[in-house]
Amino acid sequence: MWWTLRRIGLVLCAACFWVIGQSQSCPPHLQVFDEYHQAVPGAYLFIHENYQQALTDSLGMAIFPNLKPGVYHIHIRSLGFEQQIVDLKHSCPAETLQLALHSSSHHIGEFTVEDEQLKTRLSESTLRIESVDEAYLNTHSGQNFLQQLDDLPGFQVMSAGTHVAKPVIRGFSFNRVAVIDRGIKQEGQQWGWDHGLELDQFDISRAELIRGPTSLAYGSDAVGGVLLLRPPRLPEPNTLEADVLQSFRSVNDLHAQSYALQWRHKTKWIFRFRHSRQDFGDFRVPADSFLYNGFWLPIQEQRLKNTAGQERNFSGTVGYTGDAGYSLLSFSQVHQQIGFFSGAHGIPTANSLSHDGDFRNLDFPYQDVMHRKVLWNSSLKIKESWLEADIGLQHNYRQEISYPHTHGDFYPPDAGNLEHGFDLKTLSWNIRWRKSGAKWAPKLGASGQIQQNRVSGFSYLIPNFDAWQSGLWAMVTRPLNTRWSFSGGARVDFAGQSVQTFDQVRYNQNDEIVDTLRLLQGFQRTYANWSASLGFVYNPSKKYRWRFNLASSFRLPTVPELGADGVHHGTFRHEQGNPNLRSERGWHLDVAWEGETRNSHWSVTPFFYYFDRFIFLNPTGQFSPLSGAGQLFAYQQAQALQSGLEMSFDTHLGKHWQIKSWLDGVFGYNLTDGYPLPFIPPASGGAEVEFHLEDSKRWKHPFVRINLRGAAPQYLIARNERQTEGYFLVGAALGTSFEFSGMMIDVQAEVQNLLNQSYMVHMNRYRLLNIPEPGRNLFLTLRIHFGHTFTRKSTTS
Amino acid sequence: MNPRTLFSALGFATLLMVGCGVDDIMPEITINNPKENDVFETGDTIRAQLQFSDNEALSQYKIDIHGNHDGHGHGKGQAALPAWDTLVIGDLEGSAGTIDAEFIIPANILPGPYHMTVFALDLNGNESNQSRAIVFVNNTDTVAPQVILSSPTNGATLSSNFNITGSISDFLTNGNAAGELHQIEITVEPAGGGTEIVVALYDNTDEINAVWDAGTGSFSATGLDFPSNTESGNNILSLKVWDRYFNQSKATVSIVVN
Repeated sequence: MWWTLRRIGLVLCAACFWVIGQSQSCPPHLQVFDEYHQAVPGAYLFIHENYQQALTDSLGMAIFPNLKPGVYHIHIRSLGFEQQIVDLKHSCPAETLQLALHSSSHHIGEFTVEDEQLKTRLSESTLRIESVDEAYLNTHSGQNFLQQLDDLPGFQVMSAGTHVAKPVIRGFSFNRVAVIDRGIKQEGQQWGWDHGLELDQFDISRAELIRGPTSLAYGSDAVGGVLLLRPPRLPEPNTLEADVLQSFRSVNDLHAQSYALQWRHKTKWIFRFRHSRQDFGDFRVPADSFLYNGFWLPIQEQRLKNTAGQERNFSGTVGYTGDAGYSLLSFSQVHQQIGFFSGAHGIPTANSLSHDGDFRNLDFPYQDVMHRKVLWNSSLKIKESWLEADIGLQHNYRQEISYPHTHGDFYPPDAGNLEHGFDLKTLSWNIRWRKSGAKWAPKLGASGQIQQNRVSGFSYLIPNFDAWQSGLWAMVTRPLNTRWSFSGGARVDFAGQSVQTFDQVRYNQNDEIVDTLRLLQGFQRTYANWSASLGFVYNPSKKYRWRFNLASSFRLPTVPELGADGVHHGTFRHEQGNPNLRSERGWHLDVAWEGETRNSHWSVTPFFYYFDRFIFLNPTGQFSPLSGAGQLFAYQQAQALQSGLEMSFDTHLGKHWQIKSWLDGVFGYNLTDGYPLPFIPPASGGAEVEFHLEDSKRWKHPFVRINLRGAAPQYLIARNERQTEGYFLVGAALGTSFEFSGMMIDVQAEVQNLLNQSYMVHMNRYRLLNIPEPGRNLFLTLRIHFGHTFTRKSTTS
Repeated sequence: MNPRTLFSALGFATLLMVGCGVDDIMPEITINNPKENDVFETGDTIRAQLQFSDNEALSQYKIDIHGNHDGHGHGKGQAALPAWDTLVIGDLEGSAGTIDAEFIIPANILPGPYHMTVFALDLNGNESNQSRAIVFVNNTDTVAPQVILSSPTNGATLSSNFNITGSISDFLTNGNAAGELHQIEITVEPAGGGTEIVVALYDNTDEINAVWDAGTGSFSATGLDFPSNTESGNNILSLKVWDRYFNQSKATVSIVVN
C-alpha cells in the first residue's frame, strides 16, 4: 500500500508548488461566430481545467489574459445556440482562434453534457450520458435528491418512506451502482435495503447519469452505472453571492431551509459555505389500514407512525483557481435522524401501530446517520497535459436504535438501545493524467481506497473488516474519420479484505453468560481483476448518431455478501454470507441510436448484459433457527442476464410549448435456476408538457407544467417478492422568477400525486407490508438569490 | 443494424424467458387445532394439528408460540412473570403432509393471549404466508381487578394540571390477598369517537407504587396534563388496570376538556 500513499504525497507536494507558476504568457484571442459568420456577443467561455471564464464582447472576442501555452478543454455556450466543447491548443505567439456555434432552439440548460471526469464530450462518449442542471433541479421537486431525478429514463429510486432513498440504474442497485460526488465515490452502508444516501439535497446543482458498465473509470461498484454529482457553479470574480431557500412539503409537513454564501476574490480565491436543515413529521398515505399476512392493521389518521425525522447539514469549500490549474478543499457533514415505521421493524401488530399522540416525534426504533467528508479536488498543468487528483476522506457512522426485543433475551446487559452501530471510514483517491490535444487523446488513471468498518450494538449483522482496492487504467479516444470515432481502454485492479472473527456472548435473564456462539470465523481474501471496454460512435449524418459499446466489468463481493449472518430488520430476513464467493464478472453490450432535428431530439438505447457468477440472495428451503427471523437467505452465485431499453423524445412546439417523454423497461433472469432476479423495476414511462412565456424585463422563466408518470405491473418476480400492480400518476407545477430590489426571487408550487392515488412501488421497502406510497404532496419553494460584484478601484493593482 | 430487427429479437427473448415455468407458488397451511380463541390452563397440553400442501415439494415447517400481551412486554423485567415462547422447526416431505405436535404449557408463565404462528417452506425456497391462531392461557387468577373512579365526576370540566383519584383492588381466584398490578393506564378519547390518547402510563413497580397503595387500595395521580393533540369538548376519561395475570378492568367517566 505504500506506493499508493507515496503517490498521494507526491501529488500533494506538486499541488503546493504549482501556485508559483510559470512566467511566460501570451494571451490567446478567441472569436465566436454563428453559422452565418456573424459575431456572437455575450457568449460564455469556460476553461475546465482551471475554472477561468470569459464573455465575448460586441465583436465576439474574448481574452484569457494569463493563459499559459498548452491544451485546454473549453466550453462555449450562448442562448439560442448548441453548446460546444473544443480542445483549445494555445501556443506562443498566440493566434486568433475562431470558433463556430450552430443555432438551436433546444432548451438544454446551462451546462454542456459530458463525462466530466473523463472529459469525454457527448459526441465521443460510447455510452449515452443523461444530465440535469441547476435549472432543472430548481423546477423539479422531490422528497429527496434522487426523487428529483426520477424522470431520467433508466433511473429509478428505491425508497423506504420519504427520506431514505437509493439509486437504481437499469435495474441495478445496492453495490452495483456508484454515486460519485465531486470525483469521490460516496461510501456508506449501501448494501442495506433501508439505508439511504447521505447527501444534502440543496447542495447539488448538477448531475450526470451514465447508464451501463463504467467500471473502467469508476471501479468495482460501477457495473450498472454511475451517478456523477457536481457542486454549484463558481461565482464571478469579486462577487459575493447569497442564496436563501425555504421549502414546504405537505405530505409530511416538512419545513426545509438552506442558506449559502459564496465569494470569489479576484479570479483566484473561492470561499463557499452552506447550511441546510429539514424537519418533517409522519408521512401521509391514502389508506386507513393495510393488509399484512391476512390481517388488517390500522394506519391511524392515514399517517405512517414514526416516519418523522430531521436533517442537519453543512458544507464548505475553500479553493484557489489559477492559470495552471485549481485546488479546491471541501468539507461536508450530513446528519439524519429518521424513524423506522413501527410496523416495519419486526412483525407489525395493531398494538405497536396505535397512535402515540404526536406526529412529529422521533420514537424508537429509529436510525441516526452521520456522514462527514473532506474532499480535495485539484488539477495541475504539466506542459501539454493535465494531472488531476480527487482525494476524499469519509466517515459514515450509522446507528440503528431500538429496544432489545429478541424473544430469548440473549442480549448483553450493557448494550443499551443500540441495536446496530456501523462505523465506516474510507480514504479514496482518483488520479488522472490526460493529453487532450494528442492524436489518441490518452488518459491514464490510478484509483483506489482503504476502508475500515467497525460494528457495535446488541445484534450481529456484519463483521468488523478492513479492505483495500487499487486500480490502474488507460483509455484512448480517436476520431477515425468524419463519421467514425473510436474509444477503448483497459484496467487492472487488486483488492483485499480482512474480516474479523465474531463471537456472540449470550446472557440469561439474570445477566449471566449462558454461552458464546461463533457467528463468523474471520478470513482474508485477495482479488486480482481486469475490465475493458471498446466502443465506436458513428455519425452517418448530422441528424443521426449511433453509439456502440462492448465491455467486460467486474464487481468484488462485498463484506456483507461474504460475512453477514443475522436478522436484518430492514428486510425481516436471516441473511447468510458466503466467504467463498468470487468476483462477479459481467459482459455488456450497449447500443444507442439518437436523432436530432431543429426542434426535436430522441434516443433509443437497448442494452444486453450477461453475468457469470452474479451474486444474489437465494431463498433456501430452510428456516432460520433464530426466532422471528423466518426464512434463511444465503448468498450464492449464478449466471444471469439483464436486458432492456430506454427511449426518450423531447420536442418544442412553437415558442412556448415543450414536451419531454420517456419510457424504460428492464428484465433480469437467473439463468442457473430460471427465476427472475430480485429488485427489478417494472416498465415505466412519463411525459411532461410545459408551457413557458417569454422573459419580460421583470419576470423570468414563468412556466406551467403537467407531469404524467406511470408504471406497468410487475409480474416477473423473484421468489418471495410480491406481484405489484401498475399505477398512473398526475402532477402539476407552476413557477416563475422575478427581480426585486436587485435580488432574483424564484417562487414555485408543485403537486405530486394530484389525484391522491393509492399505489405501490415494486422495489420499495414498505411494498412487502402492502403499504401504499405517499399521497398527494404539495411542494412550495421560495428561493432568493442575491449577488453583488465589487468593482476594483483603478489604483489597486 | 435495423432497430426493428433488434427490438424484435429482444421481444422474442422476453417471451422465451417468460415461457419457462418456474415454481413460484407458496405452500398452503391449514390449522385444524387449536381453534381460534381456545382457552387453556397452565399445565395443559396444546395439541397442534396442522396440514401442509405444496404444488411441488414441501421442505420445512415452523411453529412459533409467543405471547401477544401489550405488544411492548418483550423486554426484560417488565412483566411480573415471563411470557412463554417456544419455537419448533421440522422437516416435511412430498407435496402434502400433516403434523401432530403437543406443547405442554409451563406452570409459571404470564397468562393472557398467545399467538401460535405456523409457516412452511417448499424445496424451491417459496415461503408460505403466516397462519395464526390466537389462544388464551389462564392461570390461578382469573378475577379482574376492581376499579372505582371517584374524581373527577361525570360532567366535570378539566383543563391542564388535574388530578385523578379512586381505588383499585385486586384478588386472586381463591379470593385471597391483594394481587400485584402489572400496569395502569389513563386515556382520553372524544365522546363522539376518535383516537384514544394516552395521558399517563405506569408500567413498572416503582411507577405503580407511586400512585397506588396496595394496602388500602387508594389510587391518586396528580398534576396530569392532556397531550397537545387532545380534542377539546366532551371526552371519555378511562382508568385501565391490568393485574399481574393480565386480567384487565377499566372505569370511565364523561368529562369536558377545556
